[in-house]
Amino acid sequence: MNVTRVTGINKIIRSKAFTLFALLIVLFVLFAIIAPFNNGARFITQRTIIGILQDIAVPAFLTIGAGCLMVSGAIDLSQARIGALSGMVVAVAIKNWQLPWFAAIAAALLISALIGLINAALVNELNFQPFIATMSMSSVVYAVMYLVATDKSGQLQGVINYKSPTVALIGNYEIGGVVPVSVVFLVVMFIIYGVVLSKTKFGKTLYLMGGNATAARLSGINSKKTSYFLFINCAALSGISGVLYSSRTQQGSLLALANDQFTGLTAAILGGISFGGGSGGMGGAFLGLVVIKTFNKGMTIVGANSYLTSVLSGSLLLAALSLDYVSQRRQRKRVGI
Amino acid sequence: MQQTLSKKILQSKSFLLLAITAVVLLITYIVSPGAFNVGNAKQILSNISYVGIFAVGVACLLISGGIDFSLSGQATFAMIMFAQILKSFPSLPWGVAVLAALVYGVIAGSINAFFANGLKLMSFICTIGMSSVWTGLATWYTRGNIIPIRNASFSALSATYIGNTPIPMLFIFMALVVAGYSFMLRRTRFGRSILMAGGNPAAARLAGMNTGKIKSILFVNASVLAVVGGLIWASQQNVGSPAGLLTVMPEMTGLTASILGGVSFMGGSGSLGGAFSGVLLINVLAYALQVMGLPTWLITFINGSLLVVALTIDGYNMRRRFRHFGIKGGGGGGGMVMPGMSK
Repeated sequence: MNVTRVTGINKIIRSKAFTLFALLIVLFVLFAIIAPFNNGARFITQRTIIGILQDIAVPAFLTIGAGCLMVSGAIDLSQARIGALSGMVVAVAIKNWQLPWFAAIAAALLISALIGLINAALVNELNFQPFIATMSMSSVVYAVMYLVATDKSGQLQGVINYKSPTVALIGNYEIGGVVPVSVVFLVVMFIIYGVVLSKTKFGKTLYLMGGNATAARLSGINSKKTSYFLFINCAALSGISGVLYSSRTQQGSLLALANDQFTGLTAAILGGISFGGGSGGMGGAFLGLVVIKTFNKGMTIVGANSYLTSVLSGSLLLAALSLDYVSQRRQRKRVGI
Repeated sequence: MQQTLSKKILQSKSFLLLAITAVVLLITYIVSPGAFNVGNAKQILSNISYVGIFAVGVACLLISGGIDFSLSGQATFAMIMFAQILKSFPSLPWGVAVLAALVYGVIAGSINAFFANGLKLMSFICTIGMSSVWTGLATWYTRGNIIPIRNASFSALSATYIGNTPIPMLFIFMALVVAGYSFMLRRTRFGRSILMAGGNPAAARLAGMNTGKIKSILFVNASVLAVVGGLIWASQQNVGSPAGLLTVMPEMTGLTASILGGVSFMGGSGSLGGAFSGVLLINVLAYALQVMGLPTWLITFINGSLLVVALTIDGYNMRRRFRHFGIKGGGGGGGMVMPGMSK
C-alpha cells in the first residue's frame, strides 16, 4: 500500500471544514458587494450576523439528529413533522389543557421520542427501509396533528395561538441583549454531540455501523440497540426544534418547520457526512448549516423572492449530493479502487 | 406445479384487493345507502382516471428498482406551463400546449435520470430535491395563485361520459394505458428486461443488458405519464394550480397502490393489474371513509398508515420467499439498502 500521509498545511486545505469556511467567506464578500444595489441595504451588520445565528437555532437540532443517524447509515424524513407536532402539543397543552409550561414541553418531547421509538421499531423489527418507514410515519404524524389541533366543536385549527411569557423567553431571551440564549444552547449541543461522536467508544460504534454494518454486527456491536437510541434521539431533538419554533412564534402550526424539512439533511451532507454513512462529523455539519442559512439570509437581503426559497433549498440539496459524489469518487481514486 | 387458471386468479393479489374493495363498498352501502349515486361514482372514477396514469409510471419505475418523488411537482409545473400558454395564446390549439408540456416532461425525467444513473445518487433523495425545485418554480411564477383555463374543447375532455353511464371517457383512456403497459411488461422483450433489471441488476448486466439505459427510459416515462395525469387533473378542475396536486400527492397514492398490488419495493416483481387494483381500493376506501362521516384526522390517519400496512405485507412476503430458498434475511441495525443503491 502506498497511501501517502497527508500532513500539515495540506491536511488543513484538503479538509471539508476548510472548503466550507472558504465558501462562507466567499458568500460574505459576495453579498457585501451585491447588497448595496438593492436600495442600499448592507449585509455585514451586527443585525445580519445575529439574524443568521437565530435562523440557525431551529434547524440546528434537526441537523444534529440527522447527522448522528446518517453517520450510522440511516435517515429520518419525519423530522419536520415531528417538530411541528411537538410545537402543536406545546400550544394545545398550555392553551386547552392548562398545563404549566415545563409540563407542556415535557409532554411535547415525550410524544416526539415516542414517534422516534415507532420509527425505530418499524426499521428494526419489521425491516423497513429507514427512509420509507419515516416517510410514511410523517403522514401518520400529520394525522395525529389533525387530532391534536381539532377543538371540542370538531373544528380543525390550522394555527393555535397561545400566550406564555416563560416559553417565549426560551426562544427569544438574549444574554446581555446581544447573544440569543438558544444560540448558546445549540453551540453547547453541537460540542457535546461532536465530542461523543469523535472521542468516545460509542461514537466509533456509529461510524463502524455506517461504514460496514456486517462487520459491526460480527464484532459484537449491538446495532439494534444503537439504532433504537439514534432514532429516538433524532426524534427528541426534532421535538426541541419544534418547541423552539413554537416559543418564537407563540403558536402551534400545521405548517411549522415545513421550510426546514430538508435543512438538517442538506447541512449534514454539505458538512461531509456522506449519505451511505461512516464518515463526517458535527463540526462540518455545523459549518454546513451556517453556509445554508447565510445563503438564505443573503438572498433575502439582496431581495430574492421568498417563493424561491424552496427552489434554492432543493438546488442546494442536489448540489451537496453531487459534491459528495465527486469527493467520494476522488477519494476512491486516490486509494486506488 | 401446475395450477389451474381459476386457482391462479383466486390467489392473485389483484383478486384479493378487488375483494376488499367489494367489502368496503358493501359496508358503505349498509352504513349509508344514500352514498350510492351517479355523482359520487363520477367523482371516484374521475379521480382514478388521473391517479391511475400516475400509478403506471410509478409502478414501472419501481419494478426496475428506481423511485421518483418529484412526479407531483413535475405535473404541477407542467400544468402551470400549459395553463399559461393557453392564456397567453388563446388562438393556439390546445394540442400544441399539450405537446409543450410533454416535452417538458421528457426534460424533467432526463434530469432525474442524470442524477440517479449518471451521478449514481440515490434516486429517492435527488428526486425529493427536484420536487422542491419544480414546486418552488411553479409557486414563484404564479405567486401562489391559480391560472384559470378557459378552453371549451379541453375542458370537454373530462366532461364527456360514455353514453348514460357515469364512466368518463378519460377513464377508458386510462384503462387503455394500463392495459398497454401491462402487455408491454408481460409480453415484450423490453418489459421482461425491466423485471430483470430490477430483480437482479448484476445478472442483467452480465447478460448484456444496459440497466442504466432501461432505468433512464423509465424515469422519462414516469415523468411523461405524470404530466399526462396532471393535464387530466387540470382538465377536470379547469385550472392550473400550484398547490392542488400537492395536497393529494398522486405519486404517493401510486406508490402505495403499487406495493399493495404486489410490486416489490426493492424492484424485480409485480404487475400493473395489481397496481391498478390498489388504486381502485385506495380511492374507494378514501371516499367511503368520507361518506361515513369519520373525523378528518382518522381519514388522514388511515390513508397515511396504508403504506405502512402495504410495506409490512411486502416485507413479510419477501422474507417468506427468502426462507423458501434458505436465505436468512438481513438483520436489524437499519442500514440503508434502497432502490438505486449499491446495485
